[in-house]
Amino acid sequence: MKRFTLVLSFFVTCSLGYAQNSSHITGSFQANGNFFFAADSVLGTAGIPQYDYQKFGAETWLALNYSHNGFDAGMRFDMFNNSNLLNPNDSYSDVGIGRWYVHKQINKFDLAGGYLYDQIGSGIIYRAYEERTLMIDNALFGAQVGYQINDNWKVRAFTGRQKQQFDRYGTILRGGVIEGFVKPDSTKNFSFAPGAGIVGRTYTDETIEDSKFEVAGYFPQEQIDLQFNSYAATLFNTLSAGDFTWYIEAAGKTKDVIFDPNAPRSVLINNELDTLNGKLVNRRGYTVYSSLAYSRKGFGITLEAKRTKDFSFRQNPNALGIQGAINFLPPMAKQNTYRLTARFAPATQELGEQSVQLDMRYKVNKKLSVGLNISDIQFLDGTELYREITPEFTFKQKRKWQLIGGLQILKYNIFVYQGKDSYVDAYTPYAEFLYKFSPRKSIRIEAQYLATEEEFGSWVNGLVEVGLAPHWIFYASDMYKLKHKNPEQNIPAEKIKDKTKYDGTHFPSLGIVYSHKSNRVSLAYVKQVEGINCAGGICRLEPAFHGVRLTLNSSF
Amino acid sequence: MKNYLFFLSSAAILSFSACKEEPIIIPDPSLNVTGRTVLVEEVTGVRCQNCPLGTQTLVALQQQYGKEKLVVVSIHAAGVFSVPYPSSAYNFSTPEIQELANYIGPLEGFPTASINRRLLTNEPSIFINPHTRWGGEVIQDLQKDPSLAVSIDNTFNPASRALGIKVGILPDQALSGDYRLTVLITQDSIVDPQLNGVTLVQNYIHRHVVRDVVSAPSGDPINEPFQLGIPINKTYNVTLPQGWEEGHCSVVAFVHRAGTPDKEVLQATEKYIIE
Repeated sequence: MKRFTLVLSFFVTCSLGYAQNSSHITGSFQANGNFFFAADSVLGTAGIPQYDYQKFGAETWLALNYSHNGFDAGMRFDMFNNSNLLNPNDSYSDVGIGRWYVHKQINKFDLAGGYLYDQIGSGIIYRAYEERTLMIDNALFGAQVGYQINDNWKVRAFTGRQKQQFDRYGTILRGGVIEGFVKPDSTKNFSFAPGAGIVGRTYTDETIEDSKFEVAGYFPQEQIDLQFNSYAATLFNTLSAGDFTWYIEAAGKTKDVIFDPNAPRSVLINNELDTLNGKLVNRRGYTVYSSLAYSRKGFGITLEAKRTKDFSFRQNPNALGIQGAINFLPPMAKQNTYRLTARFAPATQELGEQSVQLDMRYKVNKKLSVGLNISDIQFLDGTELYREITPEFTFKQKRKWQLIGGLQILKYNIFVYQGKDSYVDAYTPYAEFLYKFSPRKSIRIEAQYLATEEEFGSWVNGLVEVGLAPHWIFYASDMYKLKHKNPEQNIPAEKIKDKTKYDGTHFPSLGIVYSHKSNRVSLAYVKQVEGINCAGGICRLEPAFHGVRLTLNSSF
Repeated sequence: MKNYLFFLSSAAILSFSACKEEPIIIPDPSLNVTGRTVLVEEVTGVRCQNCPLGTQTLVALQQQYGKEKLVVVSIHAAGVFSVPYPSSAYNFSTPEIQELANYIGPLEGFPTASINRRLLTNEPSIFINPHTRWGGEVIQDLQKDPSLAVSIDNTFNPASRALGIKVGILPDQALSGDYRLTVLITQDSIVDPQLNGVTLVQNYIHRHVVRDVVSAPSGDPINEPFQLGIPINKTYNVTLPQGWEEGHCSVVAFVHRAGTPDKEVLQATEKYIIE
């Protein structure tokens, strides 16, 4: 009844307001439909309900936003039917109002209530956002007050609880941020954009109760203190000077009860003292992140560095993986887009990580530009986690054709990131060729070859895409697992079955995309190998997919 | 303007200044233990590299609280992680055992375990991880009063390998609602390959392995009323397959609710086939 009243009020408000000149209604619609093919024990889809018997799963989001004279309101209808988004190995069904909010600007005040998305700085201490591909939606259900102090400084404060699907976590958050902009001389390209923020989090009684009993089971000398409240604070600034832009953010967190999977814990097994890894710890943490960019005509370079220690900031100490995060630690690896260069992606290590990334691009002449990306991620003790070196070139022949080529040299700690073996050393040359028959007709061909002895071994991937602008795109691709040479001689007997299980297997995709104005429909047959799915450094291991995907995106 | 700033500053200071908290007392787990026996159903797999950690945790907990207070069963139903190795002598994962795990709740991440099939607040599944949480939940359940007692009486014929199982349920209070009885056969100390970290241990000792689901995987309905002091008896007859070391086999029986998602286990017990 409450939801019905809310929906009714929203539309009454909108229809009354729509008569006014300055009113706008905008919105977006996204629907995914997955048709699952028969379960396949080699692919690893057996035992997953969608493959075994449900056969169809769908997700839908319909958002409507209304604005009028500084007043904004919106709501979003969410539906999940046998969806594999929340847990790729299971089925999730629910439906309801996924989000609503109201916002009003009154003179210098900004007032908002409902489910609110926001972040402080780069998100290191607080980020409420939505990432649908990973089913992350941690909007803050609460209230926010902002105040414009003057033209250059503003402050805002908020409090509430974060969303958990159609429910809310019990943990209470509150926070505040002040942000400014200082330009000492209006005639020069020199400015600061400083800011500072703080977030407080109060664990629920249940969380503390669970933690109390968990700690009670530890040996007395290994027990820790507990507290309900922890605070994270940050200072950040963007300095722009001529062709340089320098961003720096330093954040600290007071003592916080978190789970450390590597912390040793003593136990008695068969009356002998033994050690297991993994226990609750109560530690302070910090993250320092900086990005220095230089850009001028034909040349751009960005150098980033980050160091993180014990900066897990979650709804409860046992909220692991992609759910329950209050903050967001910026990823420090290239966002690869090709299927094989994106196969091994690093998830951000919130308990300890030091990383650097260099990204450089130089335009040699009108036709040729070259680029280089280097990223290196380690544990704080120097253990290598991820190293990628990718030189790349782009050659443009007027507007007729374009060739992109590159080589990804990768070292990937697959034990830490995916729980398999130890390291993957891979070399992946790739190329993309785009040819325009006419301004409306084009063909794009891409190819990659991933050469490695680890995990399943080497792969090739090819794609052909025909574009008939402005409406149609047709594409076909195939990812093929190259067979191992003499596996009996080269692979230990116990690993043969795992390492060769995809040998000689094709993973094809075939799709059609139709676009009209801001509407896009796609239909594709997809057979996809298991792999890691990441968005902004947040990753999860997903099983293979085999079926047909129908997607519809529309904005209005 | 100054008033606004003063107000905002005051609110900010008040919000974050009250940092001092009353200390939280860590309880002594040996106090307040009742007559309840806790059931832990661990989901594991021979190819799950972290699962031995989960088993070690449970073995340590059993040592801490005693086998009569903590019944542990290992359900090999971790999907691809439960597929036997070529050198495996056993396949611990059968459709029936997978059905048992599926009935309890959705699985994500291994090892995982249900503690008395209790669904915790804000948890998407009855199965919880990481393994370090299990101890805290076990202690909490050990301090709750049982509403009934469960007993097992086994008769085993070594020649025919016929096993008769008599399960007795004695309510400590009148109960209403739907309840079910689940009966399992477990085998302890089976030597067979298991991945541990990055090492495949050929002679790994598997503990508390569920070998057979004697009742229905979702439990057999108990139609008799639960009245104070009125016993309810159930009998099962099975033949223990050849090759199962009877000296290491146990019968595990427990009474649980039959709702969705409320499947909480009220009481559990375990008894060796041969005492």
